[in-house]
Amino acid sequence: MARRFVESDHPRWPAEAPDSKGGEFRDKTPDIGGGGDWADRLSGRIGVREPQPAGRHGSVSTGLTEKCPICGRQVKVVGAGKLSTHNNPDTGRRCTGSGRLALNRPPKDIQHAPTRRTPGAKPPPAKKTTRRAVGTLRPPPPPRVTPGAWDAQVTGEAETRMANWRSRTMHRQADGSMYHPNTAATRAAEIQRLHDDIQQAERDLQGRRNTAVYNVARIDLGLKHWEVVPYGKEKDYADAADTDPHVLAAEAKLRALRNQLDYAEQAIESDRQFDPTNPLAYYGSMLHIESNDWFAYGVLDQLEQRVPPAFHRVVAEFLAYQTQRGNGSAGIWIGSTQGIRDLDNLKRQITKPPRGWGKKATMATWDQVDGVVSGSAVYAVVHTDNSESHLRSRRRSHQMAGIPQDLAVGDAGLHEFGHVLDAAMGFFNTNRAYRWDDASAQRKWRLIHGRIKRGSRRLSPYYRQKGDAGPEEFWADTFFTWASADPTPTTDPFYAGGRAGRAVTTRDLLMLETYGGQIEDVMSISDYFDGLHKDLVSGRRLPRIEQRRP
Amino acid sequence: MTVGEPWQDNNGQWMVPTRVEATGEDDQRVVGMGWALLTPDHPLYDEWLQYIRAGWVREVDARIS
Repeated sequence: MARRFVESDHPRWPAEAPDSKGGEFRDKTPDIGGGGDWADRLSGRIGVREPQPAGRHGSVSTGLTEKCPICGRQVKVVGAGKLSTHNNPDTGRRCTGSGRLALNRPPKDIQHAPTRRTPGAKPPPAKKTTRRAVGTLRPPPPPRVTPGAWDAQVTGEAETRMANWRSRTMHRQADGSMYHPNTAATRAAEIQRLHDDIQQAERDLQGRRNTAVYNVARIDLGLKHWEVVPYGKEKDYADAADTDPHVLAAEAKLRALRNQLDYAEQAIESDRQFDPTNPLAYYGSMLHIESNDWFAYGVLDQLEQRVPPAFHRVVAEFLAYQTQRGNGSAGIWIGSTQGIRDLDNLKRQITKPPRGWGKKATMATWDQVDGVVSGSAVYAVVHTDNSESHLRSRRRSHQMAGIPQDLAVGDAGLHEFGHVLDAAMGFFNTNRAYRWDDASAQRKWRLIHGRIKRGSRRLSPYYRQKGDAGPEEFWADTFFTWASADPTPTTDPFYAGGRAGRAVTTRDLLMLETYGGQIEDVMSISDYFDGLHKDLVSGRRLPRIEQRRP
Repeated sequence: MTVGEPWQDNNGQWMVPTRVEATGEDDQRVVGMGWALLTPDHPLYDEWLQYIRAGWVREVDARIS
């Protein structure tokens, strides 16, 4: 690869250098014939040889010189009849006499450098930029509506939107296919790679089994390590391989690869094009709208307007994958019924009383639960009395996030969506027997959570819970905050110049207001979700394996 | 912009966000979020009490009157 030119490789003469060379490049050679300075030599070395007129680079050599009226230096007169660009030897900087009209005019028939534009030719038309509907494009903002009571039926524009959501979802056939975030070619390559890896892992497993068997046989028969086990004797020790740790590890690796192949091979192309301007349509019949009131409208509006379409795509694919894996009831349920178990199909799913409400279980009924995620595949949200009271108590944060108060009903909806997304962005964990883990179990997220937990005294105990509960809830809620807030840079002069190498956004400030801690720590949360989004949009994300710690 | 903040109901009692877990069909893990009255038998009673007494609860003034 050609080396890039850096000016430090080409030192200049000092300002006080003799022969008026102050400021010139040291390696510049006299202008002979068609060129020969360092720039031409570099161009020649990297194979760039453009046809140049005599005199090169727009400055046509005339052979004339003239004294500069500013610095008194004898400088060249170029073909355009002007003084050549030169440095003032007193200051070492460019002389202001550069480009002045010279008294010694060059002859009329001198060859001028070609102009960039041919006279008379029309300039090329300006390139039209047409924004295509790609993954980053958000749907157009809907018309503002004035909602009524949460349990009242929707009217006006909202009714039209609800009808639109329903017509695109409820009447479609069930999507039993798994979509994959990558293209067919990428997926085919991935499947081929997995086949190769599995063959390799099978050979590796057989080798490790043989090693384990022969080692045990040698010890048992009292053989030296160079002595050969008699033919057929190793069959007596075949069971020894079943408990060997190396064999068990190789078996786990093979099992994980087969799981991944299973995952990849079930990836079927979607039967519909993903339309980022209408992301909810991608769920097909997996989206269940159980009521036609303002509550359901608010949740759906939040999902459509706040969540980037790429995340809807990956969640729809994950739910479809769960459906194909046998969990036939995967989907999203939204309604304003009295209890979450009244939603279709959930009574069968949720059969046991909830845990975590204390010994007396004063509130231990599912009627008090706003939202639920079951088996990472069922996501339901309902409207309870508590959720409305909570909503009204959150007035200021909605205002800060730019959410209109009248539509800020999707709190629990977006929070539970965060849980499903957490599962959908998961990975095969080598530390936990290649189990599919949520993204919040990843070490990267645990580090972020730990930093906030230690650095913020006023982080809610809800996010400080032990085990997986704290990181999971924190993941879902920070996603909710990240999706809700505006990423424009703040005008707060306190954060002028940015922090941690980038500009501070209003989203970062909302995170800081919500979770406390240091600005750099909450900025790492924004960076985390930005990175996830970028990976999805660029198609880089694949079912991945969390690497074992070194 | 969070669901993790407690609030007071009309009787002045504190409602705190509570994570609820259960086992569903086919041993599926069910995780939910709801609101529970802050009573001494709440699993995070001490933590919530400390949080509330320290004055770290935000936006409670704007609650429903």
